[in-house]
Amino acid sequence: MSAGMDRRSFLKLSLAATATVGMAGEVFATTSGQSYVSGGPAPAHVEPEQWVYSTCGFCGTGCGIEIGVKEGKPVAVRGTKGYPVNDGLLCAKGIYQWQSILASDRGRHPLVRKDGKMVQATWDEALNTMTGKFKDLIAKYGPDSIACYNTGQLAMEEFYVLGKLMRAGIGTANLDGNTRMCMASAVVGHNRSFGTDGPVGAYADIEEADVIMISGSNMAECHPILFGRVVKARAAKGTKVICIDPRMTQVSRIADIYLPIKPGSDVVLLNAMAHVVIAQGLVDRTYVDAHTSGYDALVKHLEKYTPEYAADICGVPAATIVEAALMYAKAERSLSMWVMGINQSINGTQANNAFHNLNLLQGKIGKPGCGSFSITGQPAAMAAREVGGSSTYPGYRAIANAQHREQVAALWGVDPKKLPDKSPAITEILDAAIEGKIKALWVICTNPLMSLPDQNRVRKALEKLELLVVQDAYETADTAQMAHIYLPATMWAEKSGIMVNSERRMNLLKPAVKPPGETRSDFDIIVDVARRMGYGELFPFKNTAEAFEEIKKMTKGRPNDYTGVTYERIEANKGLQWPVKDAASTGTPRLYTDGQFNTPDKKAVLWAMDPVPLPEVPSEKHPFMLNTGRVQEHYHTGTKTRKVPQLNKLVPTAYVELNPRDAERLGIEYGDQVRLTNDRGSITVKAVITAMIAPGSCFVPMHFSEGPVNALTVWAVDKFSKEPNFKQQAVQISKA
Amino acid sequence: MSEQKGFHADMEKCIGCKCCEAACQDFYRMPPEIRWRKVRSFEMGEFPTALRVHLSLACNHCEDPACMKGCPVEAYTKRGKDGLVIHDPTACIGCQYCTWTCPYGVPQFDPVQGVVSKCNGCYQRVDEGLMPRCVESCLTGALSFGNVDLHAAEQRQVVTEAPGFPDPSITRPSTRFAWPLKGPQPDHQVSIAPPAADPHAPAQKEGK
Amino acid sequence: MMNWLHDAQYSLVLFTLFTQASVGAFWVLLVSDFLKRKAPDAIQDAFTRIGTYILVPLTAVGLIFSTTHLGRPIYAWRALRHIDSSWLSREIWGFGLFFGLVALYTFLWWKRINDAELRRHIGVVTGIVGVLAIVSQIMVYQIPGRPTWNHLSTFPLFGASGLILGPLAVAVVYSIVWGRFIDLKQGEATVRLSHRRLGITLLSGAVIYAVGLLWRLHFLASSAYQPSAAVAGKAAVGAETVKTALVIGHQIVEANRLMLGLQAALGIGVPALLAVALWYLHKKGASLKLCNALIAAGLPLVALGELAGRALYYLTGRPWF
Repeated sequence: MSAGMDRRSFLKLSLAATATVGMAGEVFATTSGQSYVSGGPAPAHVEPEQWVYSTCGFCGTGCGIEIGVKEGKPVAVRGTKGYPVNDGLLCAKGIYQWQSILASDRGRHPLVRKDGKMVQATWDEALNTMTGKFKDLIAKYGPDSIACYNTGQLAMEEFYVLGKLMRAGIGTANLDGNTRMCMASAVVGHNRSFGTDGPVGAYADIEEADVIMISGSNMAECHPILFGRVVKARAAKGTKVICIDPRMTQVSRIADIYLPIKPGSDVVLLNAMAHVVIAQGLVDRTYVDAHTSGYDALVKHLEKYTPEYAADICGVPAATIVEAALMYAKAERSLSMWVMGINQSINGTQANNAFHNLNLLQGKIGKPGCGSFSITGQPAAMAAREVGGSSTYPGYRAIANAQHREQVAALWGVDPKKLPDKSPAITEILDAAIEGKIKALWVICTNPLMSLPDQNRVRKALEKLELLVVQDAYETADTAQMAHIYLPATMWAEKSGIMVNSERRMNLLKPAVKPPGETRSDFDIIVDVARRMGYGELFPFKNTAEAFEEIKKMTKGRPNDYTGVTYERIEANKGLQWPVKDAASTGTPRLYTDGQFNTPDKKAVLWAMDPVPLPEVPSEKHPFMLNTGRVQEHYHTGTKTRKVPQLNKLVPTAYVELNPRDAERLGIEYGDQVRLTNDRGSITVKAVITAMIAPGSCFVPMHFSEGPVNALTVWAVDKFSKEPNFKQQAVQISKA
Repeated sequence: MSEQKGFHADMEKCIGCKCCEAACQDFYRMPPEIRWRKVRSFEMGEFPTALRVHLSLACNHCEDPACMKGCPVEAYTKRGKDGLVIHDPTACIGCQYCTWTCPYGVPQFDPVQGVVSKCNGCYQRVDEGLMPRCVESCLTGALSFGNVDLHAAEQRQVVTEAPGFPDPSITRPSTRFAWPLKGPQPDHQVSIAPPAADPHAPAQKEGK
Repeated sequence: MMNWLHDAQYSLVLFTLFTQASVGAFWVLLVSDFLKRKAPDAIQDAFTRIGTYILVPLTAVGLIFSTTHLGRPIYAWRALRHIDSSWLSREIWGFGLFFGLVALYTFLWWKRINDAELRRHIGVVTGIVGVLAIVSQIMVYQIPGRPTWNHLSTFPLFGASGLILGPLAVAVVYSIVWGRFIDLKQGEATVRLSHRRLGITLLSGAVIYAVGLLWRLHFLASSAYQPSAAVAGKAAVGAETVKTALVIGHQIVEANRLMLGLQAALGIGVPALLAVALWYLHKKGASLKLCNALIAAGLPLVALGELAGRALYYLTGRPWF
């Protein structure tokens, strides 16, 4: 390859690559007013007066943090030393997150739209307007005319009161969370394979494993703390890494085997790996016979999934598939980890089940260093799943299960008939809004205009609403700008409650700093709304701790049993992994250690599956496969991280990653403005030329409202989980 | 000199997460434009065997610091006890000559403050027996700090050269490196080049 | 535009050109002073004396531009502190001293016209200090930290700038004062002589400048475009990295061909043409007014070429890592 390359183009490339470090303009803008000159060589370090125990407000890794406070204001964040997840370390987002609390666009007062303009209002006015409209709509069109779309970033207690208000109070089925965007396929995958939701393993398995297979996850950027543990384990004991990803990342760099599969071909690959495991006699028959069902059907089904068959579809050599399968299966302890590359797909649920299949076949569930690990994306997405914040009832009770609804109704003291028996996904809710069936939407702590697929469709739905209430920390959030009522909420550092991370570790939020203006915690707002709606008797809580006492009753005897948890115990133990059945328990690192699953027959289910075709493949008109995702400097729609000048300097604006071959063919150079177009929309972003992306593919991060990639994403969902397919769509690319 | 302290950067372990950069910048409250530690990214090869590696660099606390030699106002000093090169912004007049004499782009000029500043190796922390912030915050153990002579005992590889890293003979930097396991090696140069140009290759069928 | 000016180091462009011009001008006047030592000539003295008027302003403007480059100009004096190892410190010492000596030299011309021997002694010292200052100025750029500058071609380039700009500036002063403060008839012979000398100086300046420029371009291009087999397509490591800097420098020159063209045409071509024109016109006995007009027109053109060339010099010194 060196033959065709002269120095000049090498240099050009290396310069371009260097430039990715900071593709900012040259304009200087200093934010810190403080001079570091006066301090001499000892610069302007600020030592906090006090460090307050808390949990990181970003991803689902769930790092323990301490918030440094000086004069009532946040001045620093550091990792909690000795915390089992991160032991004092933090990623760049985590380090800077105190700045997002101080952002100038924090909402301070409720706003109500009058004559098209948002004007300041009192809480009474805003909440009475909101609940008055809710009541009118319920009277006129029934409770299902009201919908709520929330998040994975509230505290557990807030999810709980919200779920209770929407289902037991208002009685609407239309409650969903943005957890649908990330975790739904994992949830349904767990449900289908193990009987209930809940990640099986613990982060400690990273150090225990001999082989770690990381799939559809740019863990190095999106869960850096976990990837740091992988890299350290690899250096310390030679842990092998297998990477499955159509896009090259730091995970693929360190991988011993890298499978650059074609986008969306993961189920086929995993089926083929299971085929190899069976064909090579690596199945743990004792475990399979004792603890699983569906083995014979699976064996028969997998006959056609030979490595050669998969090689064709996945675009990787059959020998590499066999090699990976054998490396994984022959290791005593092997661990699968995956995130959105798997989940955000039309085959997301099936791919989850395919991982579970692979591990169940070898009994690699519930053992140290083994297992299926779907990492979560948000700090409290797990909490939402566990206590009925979106598509479940508290205690991992299923919406469609009448027995579960009766249990919940009894605990809440309401008529079981009132409790909805279905739970539409946000895509269905918005389609119903377009049809005019849903009249009011209450959006809490999320930014659907930016984060949902097919932005134009979302905008149309939001415009159709009679009432859009947005409850958020930032009044400038894209969705908030469309709201009729804006309610300013406090942020994670300003309130108390529990968050739960990917390894089921419950950790505490403590109010560290004073919230700005008249902001109120989501808990207070939700309970206030409930009281104004006339459901006050359901919410006898003075604070989140009292609500948590009720949650504990809801989960007693359930898989996510919190009976032995108190705020004090969480802090003392540096987080507790549920189930915590009594006050003596220090938590449960791994589920299903006894092979007893939560299915009726206590057996895990092996699923025989064929993937469905992708909703969209490149065509002559739209020749590029568009992938979406995140970068390490930003989080989701950037409402928090883009307020941090240091992070924004590193990655200041939207860009598309293009392979050098494609770029050359299209006459596009590094830094050019390029237009990405398909039938749903068009965006103009900067070009970043990199060989980390496959020819014919492109990648755009989701954080930037000036180049919203979700204007292009396809409105297609997994049929089981209703999780949208964000990772594969066809676009056309041209120089702008 | 009794001792020379310096950083060691293991490019195999470095994942380019920039935590070192952030920890430094946050600890010292630097504006976004001034990054005492910078993670540089280099890319080579072709999909799917391309390689992107990272080089985390701050001040190299050179044995023969060109910044110090050229500084007209004596804002630089090199500590006798550990060889750390300290820049005092209060003495600096902002002539920016050190931003030229340093081949590594370490001293950075801030037009707002009118002075240059650079990594001082967290010398106050080092004096207290602590690690520099960047080393302390490294997620993967890619960064370490200590007596240059002692790296050999602790690191997989200790070389003075890194891809693109300006000729160490200029100032004799104290930073040492371990190269990525894949790709180029310090003793055996491998091609670092972008994909061979074949502009007419059909985009869809490549590299899979 | 502001960014471009910043990248092109406009302060330093003006600082170096003005100080070099002042040293060049000083040497012309000093040489005139010495040439008449044996046979005093009141008319020539009058020219030289008026000529010294521009020395202090030229140097002062140069020094002022040296401080506008600073982040904190009020502390500029501190730059004198590190003379034992910093060429920058030496440069400031050099031009600081030069400024003082030039002022003294000018003072002696105007207030102690009869103290000619003292003046000439001071003048020799001043001239040496001026040359040393320019040497220091050139040494400031002999730094491995910026490989595109770290080349001896800076000597002819910076030196020739002084050799062209200084005498040309003096000649313009002569043309202005002649007929105004000095009698037309009486001054004619001196002006004619000065034009002949100017022609020789400009021609040699242009040749030195051209040599310097070609040398520098060759230096930037040689590493960039003749990679040895061992170099092609390999990782830049160690000494190799310096070559990558030169490639950057060469790319910058390529991207700024207009500036290079201005530098060559106006910075070298115009002084050379001017020299030839003066020689030809004087040979033909053409009117001195025409010669003076050409000189007056030449200065701004040459200055533009020098500005473009110096700005390009600074642009090529971009950070390379």
